Amino acid sequence: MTTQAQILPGTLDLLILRAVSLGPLHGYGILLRIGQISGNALLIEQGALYPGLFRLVRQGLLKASWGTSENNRRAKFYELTAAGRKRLREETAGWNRLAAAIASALATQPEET
Amino acid sequence: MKIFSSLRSFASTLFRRSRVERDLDEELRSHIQNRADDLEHSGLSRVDAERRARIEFGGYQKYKEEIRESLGAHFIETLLQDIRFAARMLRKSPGFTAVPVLTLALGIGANTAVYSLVDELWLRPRPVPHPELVVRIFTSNPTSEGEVARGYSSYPDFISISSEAETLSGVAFLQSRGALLDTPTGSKLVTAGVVSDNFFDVLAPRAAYGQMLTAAQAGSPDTFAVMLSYPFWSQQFNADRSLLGKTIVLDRQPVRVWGILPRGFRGADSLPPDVCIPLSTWSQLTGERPATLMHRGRDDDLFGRLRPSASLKQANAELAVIAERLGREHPETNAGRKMMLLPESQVQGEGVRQLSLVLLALSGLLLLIACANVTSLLIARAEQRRHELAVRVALGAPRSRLVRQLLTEALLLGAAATVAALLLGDWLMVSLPKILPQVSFSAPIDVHMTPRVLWFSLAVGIVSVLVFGGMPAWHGSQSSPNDAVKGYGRSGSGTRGRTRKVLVVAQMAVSLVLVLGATLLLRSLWNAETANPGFDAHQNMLVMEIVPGFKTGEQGHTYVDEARRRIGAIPGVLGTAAGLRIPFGLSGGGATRTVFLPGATGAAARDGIPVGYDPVSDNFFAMLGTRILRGRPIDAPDLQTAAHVMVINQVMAQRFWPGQNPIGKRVRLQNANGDLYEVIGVAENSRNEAFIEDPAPYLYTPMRPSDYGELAMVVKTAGAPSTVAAQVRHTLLDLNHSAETVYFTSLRKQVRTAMGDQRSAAELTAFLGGLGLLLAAVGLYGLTSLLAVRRTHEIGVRMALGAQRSDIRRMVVGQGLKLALIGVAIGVGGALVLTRFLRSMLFEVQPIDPLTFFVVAALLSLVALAACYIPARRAMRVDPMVALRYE
Repeated sequence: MTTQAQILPGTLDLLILRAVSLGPLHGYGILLRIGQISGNALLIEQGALYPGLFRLVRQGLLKASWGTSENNRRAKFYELTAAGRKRLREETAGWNRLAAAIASALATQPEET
Repeated sequence: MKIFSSLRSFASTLFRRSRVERDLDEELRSHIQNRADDLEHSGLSRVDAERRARIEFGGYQKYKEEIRESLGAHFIETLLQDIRFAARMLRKSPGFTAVPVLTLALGIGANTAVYSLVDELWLRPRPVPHPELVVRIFTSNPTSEGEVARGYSSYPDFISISSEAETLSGVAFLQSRGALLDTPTGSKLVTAGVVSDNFFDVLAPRAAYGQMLTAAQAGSPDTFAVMLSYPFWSQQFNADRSLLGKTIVLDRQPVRVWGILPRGFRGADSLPPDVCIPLSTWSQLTGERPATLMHRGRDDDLFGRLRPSASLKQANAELAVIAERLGREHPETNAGRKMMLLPESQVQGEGVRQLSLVLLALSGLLLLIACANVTSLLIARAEQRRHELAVRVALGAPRSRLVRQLLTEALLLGAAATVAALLLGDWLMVSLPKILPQVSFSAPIDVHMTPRVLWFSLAVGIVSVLVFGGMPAWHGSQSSPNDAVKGYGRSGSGTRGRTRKVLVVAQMAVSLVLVLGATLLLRSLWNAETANPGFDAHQNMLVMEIVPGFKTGEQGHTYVDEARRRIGAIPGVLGTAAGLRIPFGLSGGGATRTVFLPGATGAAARDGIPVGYDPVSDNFFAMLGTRILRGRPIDAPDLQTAAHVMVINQVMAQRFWPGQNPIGKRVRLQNANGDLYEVIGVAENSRNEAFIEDPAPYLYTPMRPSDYGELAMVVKTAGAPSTVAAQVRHTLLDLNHSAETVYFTSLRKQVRTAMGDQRSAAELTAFLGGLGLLLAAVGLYGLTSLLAVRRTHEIGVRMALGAQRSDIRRMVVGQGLKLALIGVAIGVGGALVLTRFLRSMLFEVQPIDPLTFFVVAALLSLVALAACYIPARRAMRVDPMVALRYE
């Protein structure tokens, strides 16, 4: 089994936004999608997803609506709002910048200009 | 948008809680089911799959709780919990709960009462639409000393302005007159506001009951109706609704009561006229026609409504143009007169502004003292519960939760106190005027509970809760689990003890300021009452004002002569006199005659100088007790020959002929070519309207037939005036029925009524001051007791080591007194700064009067001494053996 890194708090929101950006999903679907896109390298406790989802809805970044799931059950679907899309863009850019900076710092040899 | 979403979720959680709960459950459960399905597909049994799924999910309740909390419903639930808990705690110790509730109720109640009074007098806008657009129009009275800008206008002026002013959507007038009302107990003079027919259209109040008189209705000859003011209707007719549409008898004729004006409606002063009579009705009632009004001179109060599109500046500019034109076209009446307008709210407020602010400030101080008391109590209470609070902290309660809990208790106390204050206040407002009719302002002020007063009370309640609840709540939350272990130690020292000491010092300081302010106002009142008003205010004398129905002046002349002769013959009557007005009479002292001094220059020569005047009969000065300082008074021969003589007062003598003997000097009255009048005497200055007034120039002429429009008579009696009152009345009735209109009272009562405003102010402040002092004393007593109890052990030790009981007493008293004296000193310092705001309300008393300061400081120190003495005596009597064992 690949080593799974503990997910940092705060990045959960980013992952949720990313997962939902590819299409509306219900809670379980989001969980699966996160697993998919991260190659199962990230570990989250499943229940922790939901406070995150409600928070994002309250902040106006996600929109929730009731619908029917693929196995004909009533489920709550989440999708990105315009604000959510914008936030995702900004956070992704920020994250990439951070990752690049740290990678560069780690790769730098001592006494290298 | 964030706010909307969170509000929406909060609202939906609040109102559809069970639905939200169910949805949440459904969502989370279906997640677990989905996971279980997947696990089942990968080979696990259904049971195992579900178990695994649940484990993977994590703490179901925990997440649900987290979600619920984020939805905001959590707050409401804990609040309800806190309230229930607080209520239980307060119920457990009813004695302890009662004291802060009562103290606060007093503080809040006092503030509510004062505010309702201030609101009625000053703050509340007129009950008309767009009160900010209502303006008052004034015509100036040129004098040699400067412009008296706010004078009355004349009827022709009213017509001109009404037709020409574009910036005003309507102009109306009001004249203050009087009328006689027939009541079951006799005739009663009531104040009548004679108004232009369009008055109610311009101002547009909404009738409290009945209907409003429109211009069309008022002008129609079939409508013979009046409007009544609310206070008059509720006092005179006991708010009888069946009166509407029925008739009352005014000036011997039946008029219909068209409606009742709303509460808070005012005329030109702070009080509404008892009845408002449109001009058309008044003409029919008295025979006065607009033509008569043309020549009456100036006594109209003009009201107007500004067009919303116009500004005050534009309106004033327009008025200036109109005034100038009138001055050119009618030089004999309008030359040099200016006109201006002011917002009605500004005019209204000026008279009572100072007093209102002072009263509000004083009651605010009282509230502070009350809050300080309650804070002290709550701190002591929190200390007793330190153990309980410390345990809760140890069990994991966040400090914010503790603060919230304690604040909730404070909130409940505040709520209970506010309710108590409102009930008490309401009862007081209703019953006080009945119990103590003197304790009200000089005329019926309609003080009642309005929504504004209610909101004010609530606001005060909330503010006090924050003030007195905040500190103990914060202190209580500082309990550390250590305290639970240590037990109930001694903490007279430390932050809590210090806080209470500071509170007591502050209380003493504030109450000193309060008592000092009240004392200054009381002294002012005393000075005013004992000042020489220029006539003998304490004699037995009947005063009456007659609104006669004479058709000619000759009739009036005969009537007065005959009346005086007959009344003079009644046993017990020592003398009579008559005049146009008497001091503090209903009609006030507003009439003036223009004086033209020969040899004057400039404006004085062209326009003359207006001087207050009174045509009087013989015997006038002797009866009233106004001394003649030089020359002689007006006597009977003067009246018979209609002599052109006059008596002037000291101020007039000084101003017109400084340094000279005015006897024999002559002036012209009324216009530059008028008759010459010779000065035959100088009378002492007398006060005619308000006690706090600077004496103005005044002159007295002999009464003439043309002066018998309205008149006043005084009857000096040997015994109490009431003994001959009935006989005098009958004499007047027998003499002439149409002149039966009399306003009857004794001189003493008249003067007392005039002083009413001042007296009420002084009484109120005395009440506030006394209450504040009492509360501060109670606070000091409480703290001193507490400190003494804490030192019980120490007292035991001292006694064992040989201290005498008197030493102990001195020690305890000293501790308390030291705090009190610091408070007094601070209070004196504060008072030195603050009392200057009272300067304009004080009569012959300086704001920094050393004697008053000293006396009040001494008084407070004595009270403090007494408050400390009682616990000291208790400490003194402690048995040393018990004290030593006291933990």
